[in-house]
Amino acid sequence: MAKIGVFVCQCGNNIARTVDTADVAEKTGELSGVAHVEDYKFMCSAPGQEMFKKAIKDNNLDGCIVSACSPKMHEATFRKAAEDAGLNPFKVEIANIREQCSWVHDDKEIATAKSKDITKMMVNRLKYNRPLERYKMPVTKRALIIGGGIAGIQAALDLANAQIPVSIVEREPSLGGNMARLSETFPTLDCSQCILTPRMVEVSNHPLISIHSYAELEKLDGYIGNFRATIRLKAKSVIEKDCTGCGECWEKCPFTVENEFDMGLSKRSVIYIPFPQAVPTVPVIDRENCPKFIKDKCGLCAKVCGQQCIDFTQQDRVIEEEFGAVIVATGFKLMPNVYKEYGGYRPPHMTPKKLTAKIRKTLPRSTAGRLVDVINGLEFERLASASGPTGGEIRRPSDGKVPETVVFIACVGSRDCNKGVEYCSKICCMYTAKHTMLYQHNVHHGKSYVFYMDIRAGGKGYEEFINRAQSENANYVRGRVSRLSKKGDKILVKGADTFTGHALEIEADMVVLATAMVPQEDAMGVAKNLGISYDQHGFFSEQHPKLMPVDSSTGGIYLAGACQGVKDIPETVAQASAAASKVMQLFSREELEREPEVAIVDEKNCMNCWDCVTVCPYNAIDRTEITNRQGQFLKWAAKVNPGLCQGCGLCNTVCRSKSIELEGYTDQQVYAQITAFEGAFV
Amino acid sequence: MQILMKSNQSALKELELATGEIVSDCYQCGKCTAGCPASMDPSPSVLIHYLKLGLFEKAVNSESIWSCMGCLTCSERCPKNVSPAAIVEGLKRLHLNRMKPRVILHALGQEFLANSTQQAVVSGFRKFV
Repeated sequence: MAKIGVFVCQCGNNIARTVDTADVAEKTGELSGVAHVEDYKFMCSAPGQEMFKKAIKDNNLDGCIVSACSPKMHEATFRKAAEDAGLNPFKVEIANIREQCSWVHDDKEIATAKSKDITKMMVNRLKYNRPLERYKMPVTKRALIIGGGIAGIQAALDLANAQIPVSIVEREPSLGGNMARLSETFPTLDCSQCILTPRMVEVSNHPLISIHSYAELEKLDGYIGNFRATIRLKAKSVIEKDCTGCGECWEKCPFTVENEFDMGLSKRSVIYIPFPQAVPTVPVIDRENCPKFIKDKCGLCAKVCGQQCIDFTQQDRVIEEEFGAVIVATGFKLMPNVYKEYGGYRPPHMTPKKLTAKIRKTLPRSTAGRLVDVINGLEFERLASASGPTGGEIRRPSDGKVPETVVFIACVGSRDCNKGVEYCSKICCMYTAKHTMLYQHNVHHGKSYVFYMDIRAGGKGYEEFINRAQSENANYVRGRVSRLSKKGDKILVKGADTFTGHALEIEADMVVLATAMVPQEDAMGVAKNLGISYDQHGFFSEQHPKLMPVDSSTGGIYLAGACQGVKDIPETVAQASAAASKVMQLFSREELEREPEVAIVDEKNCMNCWDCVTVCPYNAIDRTEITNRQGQFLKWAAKVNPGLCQGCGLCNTVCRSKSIELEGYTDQQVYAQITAFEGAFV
Repeated sequence: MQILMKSNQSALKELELATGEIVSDCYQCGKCTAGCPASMDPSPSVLIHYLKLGLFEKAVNSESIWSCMGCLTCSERCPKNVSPAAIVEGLKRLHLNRMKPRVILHALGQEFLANSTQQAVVSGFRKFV
């Protein structure tokens, strides 16, 4: 005979207002198997819990029902209390008589009857609850960081300084990401590379950080604490450990292609490092464009290399490593200019790789009627950067003239549900203000116009920065630009001032579009690879928008930086540090505890239809061979990996032989619960 | 001039029903005004702003709605999927529904009507009646 205790909570007046809790307690006490009942004002209070523990000990109860609020609220509280009192925590169940009863009913009689029914159903169910033990999982104390931009760098340093070994996987030949492209940063106008490159050097010198540059994550298996990553190290054609980064090869290389790092505004050699401060300072050969690989000619780099470290036969290497946690920091790109009215060229670095060569032949940037002097924000950054194609002088791309009039257009692509994205790209107001300042500092007599709709400067020192830009002769015009067209060697800007309601025209030498920040093209592929969720734009979704902003939807995978949503540098760094501290929290334990409410397979009955394998969203079910004691093969059966199983129950529903059950929600329990339903309140 | 904010909901509803556009979607960026080849004055964005302020009479009686040629440049470029051209067309229609016509059809003369292309005359009515 079961000895069940039932504790009915009044929740102050929340439940007692519509439910006669004393009546519920009395009626439940008459049920078979119920040994003890209580009716109390606040079960979750400290005295309430003490009473709960005492009742378990005094009456030697083997199961408890707490008729109170939703299990989301206090299930953990009472399970902990039961554990303290020596009762298996999974023998405690919550009957929800607040959210699902007292709050939604007015009639006291009906609500009381319903409460009795709910409690009775839980009592019946509890009789079949098995005592369960939490799974203990070992933790591999190594972290994987995907993306070597400022977010990845910050997270890596934070973790490594806490004595946690870290691997960074970066797709490009160098760390740095988009921040390395910027010339100055708002709102202080400090040089971006000057603050970034010391960090990059720190990363490369740190004994606990290993950098896999020019590499991509192919696959991630496993679960929180125990991930197994498959990483493809693309062939650099350079023997990394011998290379000294002397620069002999890239200086002598006779072939040039468009430089992606300079947004196509300059040329780079085919064997290259993206920028002088690159980390690691090891060049790679761009095999798609190198004549050695296309038609087996040249090979000059191998001849000039003093260390003999050029290896044309190198192959991609695939390595497997174990990690306990993953931080995703894949960053952003700028939306391509898709507007025909704004001269909508597609810059070669934003076209799919296969098309690049073709476009380069048919549509060089200076022809085909496209507006060459319409550039985007990152291109302007390169023009203004001291290490950029013009050495920091602002010159327009078409003919190299110093532009006398520059028009900046805000909200291109963002806040546009027609052709762009609906969200506000957040950083454009600030970087446009910064661009006007950089331009004014560079071209003293120049005129700059900013077409804006609203100025969103909600940050520390941001509004002051806008004021400074406006006081430094930037003309702010409230309105959008409708069309850009060629007029001689100038660009005719047809805009409007909505305050006066008139259209206006400006002849500009150069136009800078503040295009929206969007996720990387392959962000959704990465998300599918990792098993994390993403929103309609391709930004990775956080677990909870307010309270869990760095956790992804999958345990052990954390988000940092602009891959999660538009962000400026300070926010990115803050989130990266937050993600790092989450990983530290995870690694501070020797073993992880997992809830035991996972699927279990009855191997005898399993008839190998593998529907469960197909349907499992967490890849938690494997096929296993069943052998007899002599090791002879008997049959196949499904096997659940309790580390991966999230207890969703999908396998349970599709199993035709009823050989999978979800612990804590077995058919027997659910059936007992349903049969106890009397429908008194219907 | 002082503008008294008033809401002329029924007229606005009628316009929205006639055009299928939602006036409140407009966020006054002015892209329609900037690209209008007819240089409407008051411009499309101002007309829509009048409607948002409840100044329906001011919008429907403005001369500029008659200079719209319906080239749909504004509608094509609108970032919020509002069609200013459709709204102006709706204003014209409501104007014609309410107002007395300025051209009397039978006064045009049989000879004129006989020698004109039928379609040109009909489309001319929509603009100049």
